[in-house]
Amino acid sequence: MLDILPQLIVSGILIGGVYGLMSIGLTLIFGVLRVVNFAQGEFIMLAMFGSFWMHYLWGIDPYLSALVLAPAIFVLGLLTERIVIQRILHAPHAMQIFATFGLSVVLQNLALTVFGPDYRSVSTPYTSLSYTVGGLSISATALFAFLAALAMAALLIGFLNYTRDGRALRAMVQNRYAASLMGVNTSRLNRIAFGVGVACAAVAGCLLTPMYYTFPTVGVDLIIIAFVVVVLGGMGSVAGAVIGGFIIGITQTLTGFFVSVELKDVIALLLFILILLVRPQGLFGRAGAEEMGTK
Amino acid sequence: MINDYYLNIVVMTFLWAALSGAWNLMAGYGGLVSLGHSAFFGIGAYATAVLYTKYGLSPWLGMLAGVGIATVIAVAISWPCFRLRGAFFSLATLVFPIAMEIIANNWTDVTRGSSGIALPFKPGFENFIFSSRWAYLAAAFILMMIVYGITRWIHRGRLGLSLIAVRDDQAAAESMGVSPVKVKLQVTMISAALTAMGGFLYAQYILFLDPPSVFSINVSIQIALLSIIGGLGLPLGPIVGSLLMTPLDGVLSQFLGGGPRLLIYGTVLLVVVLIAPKGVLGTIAQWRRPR
Repeated sequence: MLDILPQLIVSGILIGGVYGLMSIGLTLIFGVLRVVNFAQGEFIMLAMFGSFWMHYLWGIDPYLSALVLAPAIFVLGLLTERIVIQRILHAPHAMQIFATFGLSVVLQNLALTVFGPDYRSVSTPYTSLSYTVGGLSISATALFAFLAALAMAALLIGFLNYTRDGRALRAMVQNRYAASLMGVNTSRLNRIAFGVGVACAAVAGCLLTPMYYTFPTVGVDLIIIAFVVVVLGGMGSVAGAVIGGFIIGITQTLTGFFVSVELKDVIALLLFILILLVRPQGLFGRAGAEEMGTK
Repeated sequence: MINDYYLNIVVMTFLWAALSGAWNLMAGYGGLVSLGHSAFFGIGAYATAVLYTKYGLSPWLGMLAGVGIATVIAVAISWPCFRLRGAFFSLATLVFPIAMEIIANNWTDVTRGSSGIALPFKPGFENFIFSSRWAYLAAAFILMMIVYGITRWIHRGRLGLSLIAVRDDQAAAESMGVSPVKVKLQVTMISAALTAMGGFLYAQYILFLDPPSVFSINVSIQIALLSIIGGLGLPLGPIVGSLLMTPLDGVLSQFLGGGPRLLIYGTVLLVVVLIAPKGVLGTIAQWRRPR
């Protein structure tokens, strides 16, 4: 029974990379705007549908469609920030929650109305391909998704560390008010952060399309995982999101095998509550992040 | 002639007003924006239904059991969550109904899983099952008035003031001798108990339960939505919200499927939050008292 352990851990790490990528967008948006984007899962869902239709209609590979969909969702994110998020930045928590929650209900049911409730899947030549390395079986789609997720995370960390806007964003994560006093154009960077955050979701969506079903409420399943990952890693921490993704991925594959597939989400949720109890700021977060710099 | 169709809408209007009123106690006064109230609703509904169909326990006792279980679970799950502020609290509460739904789907010995529980239609006062909808209308109205009365009592009393103080500035309230955990626990217990009572009434009225119909996140949304539309933190807010939205929903669900219906719901929610964040009552009050 234990000889399957390395296999489970490898599978967990691979899927954890994608979880990490979904969560990076969420954590970036929270870090900069101090708004928890409950609609993040719906941006993933939109990208998955985009990817599905591009493959269905024109035979475009789901991975290639990310090149079109990530910029498209980035622009959609800029618009969303302009129309919805900007107005609620200084509103009470309840209104912030229900604005993004309302957005999620709207996008979900728009997709349900337009595309119908069917579960769709994309079949590519590499869908069932897998490599065998040292006795471990590695699914090609999971491997590609993992590598792309790592590349995307590296790109984003590079952007945050080595560009002017990236540095300004990190300053805003530390203290919005002080950053604005130092001449940072916070309203422009809010928009960029939201756009980049949902573009990460779009890339994650394109990576998931070949190995997951595409349906209107897929975002709900995914956002719950992303929330768990982000709370585990610490809200606002990009590195935390990546490592949190690995931990949740491994936990899921282990419980899925040793306990039961139905309960694997319950275990992840229990883990979530446990983290909140023991270390509410997460592994890499700072205590009090939920109120920092907002008053 | 008043037929069953319209009576049903009135029953639902009162029931949703009561549920949303229970939510409003936590969210409006305590700033505890719960996205997990369908957990309490579902527990109230399932506890009575299981005890009645499986063990023949009278629904009247089942109601007490459901309310008791929901209150105990509410304490157990919300206590740790009080360490979290604002959106983080909401995030954590979102988890519970999802976990409950998974459990209800898989604990088939007790809940019959996804096939659901049908309550036998045996009208009688002792079974809390009535052949006339008027009886349910009276029950829902009474529940709504109980919630309204408790809200008024909290609104004016010490608990409400303490809650508002903690909501607006926890550190300041604490320095004035208010125990945040104590007042939050009190309001959570009241809110969960009332929500479970709503779940009980729902089960006795609809006579059929399955995990998605009671634990679904949509139930939590609807509960919250009505208060937000009517006016968060106002005793009459949930009632006004339900009077406006539940009949509309009844009409919409007759002509539209789940997708377009929830699309309209979501749009209303978004528009209200962006344009009139104080809700209908709050906005009217603002007009009448120009600064």
